[in-house]
Amino acid sequence: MIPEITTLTIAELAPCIKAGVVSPVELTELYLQRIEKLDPLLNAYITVTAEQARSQAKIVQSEISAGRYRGALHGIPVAIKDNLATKGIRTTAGSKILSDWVPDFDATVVTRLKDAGAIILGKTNMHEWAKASNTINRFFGAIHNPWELNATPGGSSGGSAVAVAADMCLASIGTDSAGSVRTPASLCGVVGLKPTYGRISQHGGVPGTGGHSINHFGVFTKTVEDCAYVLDVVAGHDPQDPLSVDAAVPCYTDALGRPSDSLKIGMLDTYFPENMSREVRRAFDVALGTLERLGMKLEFISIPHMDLVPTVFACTMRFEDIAPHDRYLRTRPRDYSPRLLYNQISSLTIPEATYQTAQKVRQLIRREYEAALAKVDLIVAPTMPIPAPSLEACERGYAEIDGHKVPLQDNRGNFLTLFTIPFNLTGLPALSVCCGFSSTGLPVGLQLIGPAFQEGRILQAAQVYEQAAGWHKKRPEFPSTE
Amino acid sequence: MSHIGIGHGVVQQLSSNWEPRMKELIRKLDKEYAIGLNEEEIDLIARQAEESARLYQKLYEVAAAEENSVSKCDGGEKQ
Repeated sequence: MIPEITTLTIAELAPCIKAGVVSPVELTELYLQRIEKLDPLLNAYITVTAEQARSQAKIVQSEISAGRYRGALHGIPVAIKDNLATKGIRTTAGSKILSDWVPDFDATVVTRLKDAGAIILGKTNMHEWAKASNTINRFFGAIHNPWELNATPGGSSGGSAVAVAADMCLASIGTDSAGSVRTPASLCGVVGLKPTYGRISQHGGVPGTGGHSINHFGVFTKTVEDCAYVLDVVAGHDPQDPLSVDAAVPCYTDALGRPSDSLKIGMLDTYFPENMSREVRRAFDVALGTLERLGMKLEFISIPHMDLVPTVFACTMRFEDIAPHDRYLRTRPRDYSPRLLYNQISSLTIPEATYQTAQKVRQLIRREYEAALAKVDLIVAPTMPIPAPSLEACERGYAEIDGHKVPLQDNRGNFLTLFTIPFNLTGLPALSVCCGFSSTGLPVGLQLIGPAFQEGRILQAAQVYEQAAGWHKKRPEFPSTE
Repeated sequence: MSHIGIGHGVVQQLSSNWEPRMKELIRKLDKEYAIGLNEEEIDLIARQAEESARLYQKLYEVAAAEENSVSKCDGGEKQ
């Protein structure tokens, strides 16, 4: 059976585009048709830039026809989270306040994607100001999980994950200040990478959508190999972002296929085991078995102050991300959704001394991770404590898990991001790859974490796992929309 | 499934004894920012902020303990 072209990966399509077998113009049209058909169900896009995409595709097509092929992303349709500036295209951050903002510049990652010949299909839906993970957006509507339309896709980059999972683009860019790339990647069954802090420029990110020391830009793709292709393009120093690291960037696609059988894999002995649901534990245990069969050696590691991660994170996030909102709180306070407005005002009460104290404890946690990663090559953990809760559970604020009512949000933070925030605090690279499905058919994610700037090692191990497990071949099915 | 404290009992434990000072602070912020919060909203935000503030206290304890252990290692503690 010939697969539908939109189900193919970048790695499969790039040689066809280069050889002239697949036309970027036709490919773009197929993706636009797919968006037109499925987005009314999923609501992954806030803005679809159909005409710009068609024009861009024609230019790309003529370049390739003239023998000026630029690389694996040339002619590849992609999507961008709506909190990254895009020249001439409105950029809302999922908010009412910025609903009419049209930037006159591109974020650096957008420039790099365009320079590589990628075609921008549109801007993806997200949680308001990237401030939670259920992506029930009061102004642009809730996003639906492609595996179960009544479930959340996670967030805040929910639209970016859904667009990839439902074949409405080949790759997308998101931001991750608490797990906003890895959480929706896990819940939608795609690959989501949050690289090391400073690896990808954050120039052009909308201020107020992630604390400066915990926010990262990240990548969504269908496979680990595709993730390496995108990272090859978007990683690297940017003089416009003083926090981006001026260090050599390896070729990440070169890291793929290297032997992984000697890798030592660490698992935390607390925090994760105590908080994962039975469904997640089952999938995680099977994944660990697969890693062992691949020759990797598993051992337990300890992070003594792990229990303080949620508190340190909550304080850091709230304190750092309030300043950009000051003018909107003074001028348009009621243009925030009520819950977000209350959180913002609450954030204004955090004293500087408390923030500084949180940073001391954060350093302690960071050193503990450095010590752990001196003993093992990678750490593995589930990406999420539970599979995707229903949109209704997100609205009411708690989910029924293993016979318990579990609150999804409280002052210490968000239950859904409990497993991802440690790596926003430490800045360590972390990738989510699908490691199975719940009894109701919802994806479960495996998180691989490495030492700083060792994305290559993570991609290498993740690809070996992905190919052995084979979950990436499973696709969501949709009710007929004819 | 067990939990490390997210949600479980935290709200109930703290809500019976929260500080009126926080409510005053929220009123000041409301005035400064000209938001126009009603009493119910002020109450809710103050409760939320107070609960967070109590959680953050633990950080001071840990940071202080860490500083003490460093000063002991440095011989900086008075005998």
